[in-house]
Amino acid sequence: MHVKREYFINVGGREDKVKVELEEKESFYEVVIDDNKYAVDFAQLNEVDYSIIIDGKSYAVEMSEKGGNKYEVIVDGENFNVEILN
Amino acid sequence: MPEIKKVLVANRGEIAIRVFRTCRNMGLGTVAIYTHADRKAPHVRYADEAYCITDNPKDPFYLNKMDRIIDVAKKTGAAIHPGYGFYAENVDFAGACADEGVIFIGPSPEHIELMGSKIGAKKAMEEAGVPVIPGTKEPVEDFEEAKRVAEEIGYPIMLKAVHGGGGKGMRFIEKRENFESAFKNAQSEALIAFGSREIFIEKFIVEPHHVEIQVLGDMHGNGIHLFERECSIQRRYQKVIEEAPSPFINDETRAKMYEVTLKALKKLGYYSAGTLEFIVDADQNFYFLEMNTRLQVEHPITELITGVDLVHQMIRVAEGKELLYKQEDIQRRGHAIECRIYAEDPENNFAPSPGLLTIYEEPGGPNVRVDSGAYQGYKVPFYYDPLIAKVCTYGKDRSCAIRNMRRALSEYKVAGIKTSIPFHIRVLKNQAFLSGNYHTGFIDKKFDMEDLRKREHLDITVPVIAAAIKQLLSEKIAIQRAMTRSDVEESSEKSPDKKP
Repeated sequence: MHVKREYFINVGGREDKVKVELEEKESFYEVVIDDNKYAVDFAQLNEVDYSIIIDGKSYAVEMSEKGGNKYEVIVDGENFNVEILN
Repeated sequence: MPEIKKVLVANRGEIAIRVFRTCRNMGLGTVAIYTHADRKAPHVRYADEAYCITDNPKDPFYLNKMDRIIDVAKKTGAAIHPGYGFYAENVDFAGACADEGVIFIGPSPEHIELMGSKIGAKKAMEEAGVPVIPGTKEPVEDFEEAKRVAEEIGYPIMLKAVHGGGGKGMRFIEKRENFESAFKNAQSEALIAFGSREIFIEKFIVEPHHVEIQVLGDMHGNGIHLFERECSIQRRYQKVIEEAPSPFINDETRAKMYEVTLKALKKLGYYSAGTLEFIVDADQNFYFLEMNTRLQVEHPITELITGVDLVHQMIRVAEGKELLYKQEDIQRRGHAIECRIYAEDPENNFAPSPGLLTIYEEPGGPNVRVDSGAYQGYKVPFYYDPLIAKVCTYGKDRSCAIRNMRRALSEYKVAGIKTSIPFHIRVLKNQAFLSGNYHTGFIDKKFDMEDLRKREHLDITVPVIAAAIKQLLSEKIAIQRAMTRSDVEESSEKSPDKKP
C-alpha cells in the first residue's frame, strides 16, 4: 500500500520549520519541499548507512535514531540534528 | 638482555593498539591490561591476553596500579611498553621494572629522572651545547639583582615562580616600566601559593613556534634523528594538529637543530625513542624547551615521512640490539599531517563529550592512516583522555597532504557525541595555517571560533528528505506490528482452549 504523508521538520534547532510532503511511488518517493519536487531513491544498507539518490544525485548518508522522532543525520561529513514535529 | 617474546602495554586506547600492531608484525605476543570501566575497550579485544587490574568495579583508574601491572608482566613473561601518559616518564615505574627483572621498553630510569627535572634538563642540555632560553640559572629574590638581570636578557620577559605551576607566580612583562610592580606581585603570589619568593627570569619568545626533533638511540652509543615535527596548533597548551616537516623553519635552522640534537643525544648516552622540544622565534632562533623520554602521540607522522617503525626500534633497543638504521639510512620523503580527534565539543570551548558512538566510520584510502581506539557502539568513557583517534595523511608535498586530510576528515563519520572534526576542517581552510607560518597563539589570534558555527553545507534538503523517509518507514513498520499483534490477540480470543 503506497502512502502519502506530510511532516513538519526542524533542523538543528533553527526557528523555522520545513514542510515536507511525501508520496510513496512504485520504486521511489516523490518529495515536495517549498514547491520543489524531488524523485528520491532511498536504500537502507545496514543499521546506520543509507544510499539516497535525489534526482540522479547520489548521497552517502549515515543516520541514527535518537528516539522521540529525532535523528542525527550525516551528509558530506556534516552532522545535522533533525526532529519530526508531527 | 633476553629476547622479548611478549609485550604488555601499560596503557589503553589507540596507543595500546598501535604498539600491539607492531608486536604482531614482529610475531610477538600481546598483553592488555584494563579496568572494569574499560572492559569493552578495543585494545582488550585486540590483544592475545588481557588482565583486569582493578578489584573494585567502581575503580576506573589505571594509575597507582604499578605493582599489579608488573605482577602481570612477570606472570605472563612480558616486557612492558608504557605508551605515552600513565606510566611513561615515570621514573619509579621504570625503576621497579628493572628491580623486578621486567624489561622496560623505554629509556633508562636515570634519563627519565634527569629530563623530568626542568632545571636538570636545562642544565644538561646547556652543557651539551643545546641553546636554552636566556634567563637566570639560579633563583632570584633581590629586586635590584632581578632588575639588572632583566635588562641583560632584554624585554619582553617572563617571571616564573621556582616552585610554581598552574600559572601562579607567573608574570609577562613587556616593558621595563612594568617590572617593579610585576616582580613584587609575582613574589607575593609565589610566597602565598608555594611558600617561597624565589623567581626565575626568562626571555619571553614572541609568537613562538613549537618544533621538535624525534630521536632514537641504542645502548651501543648509536643515535640518530628522524627530522622534525611542527606542533604549533595547540589549545590550552595541548597539541591538536602536527605536521612533518615544519613548514616554518629553513634548511639552515633545520641543519643546526639536527646537529645540536645529535650532539646532546650522544653526550647523554640516551637510548630508546625520545623527542627534544624547541621553541623557535620569528627570526629562526631556537631554544630547548624539554625532552620527552617516551613515544610521542604524534609519532606516526615521523613514521610516514621516514618509513621507520619507531615502536619496532624501541623493542629492538630494549633487547640490547643495535638500531637497524644509521643516520644516512634515514631519508625524508614527502609531508605528513596529524589531526587528533577528541571526544570534545569545539563549539563549547572544547568541553569533553563522552558517550555512545551511534555512528562510527573511519576514513581510509590512499595515504591515510588512522590510529584509533573506538568503534560503532563503543561508549567513550569520561574517565580517560578524550582522544579517540589520530588521523594522519601523507602527500608528496604539504598541499597534497592537506588535500588528503580534507578528504579523510570528510569521510570520518561520527554521531552520538561531539568531536573535534569540524574544528580540524576549518583549520585546514584557514589562511594562516595554509601559509605555513603559524605560531602557538594560532587558535587565539588567527582562528575565528565563529567559523565553527558556520555550516559547510547550508542546504538542508538531503537531511530533511532522509529523516522524513526514515520516519515514514518507521511508522509503516509500527502499523504493521500493531496489526499483527491485533490479529494474534483476535485469534487467541477465538481459540476454544481459551479459558474464560
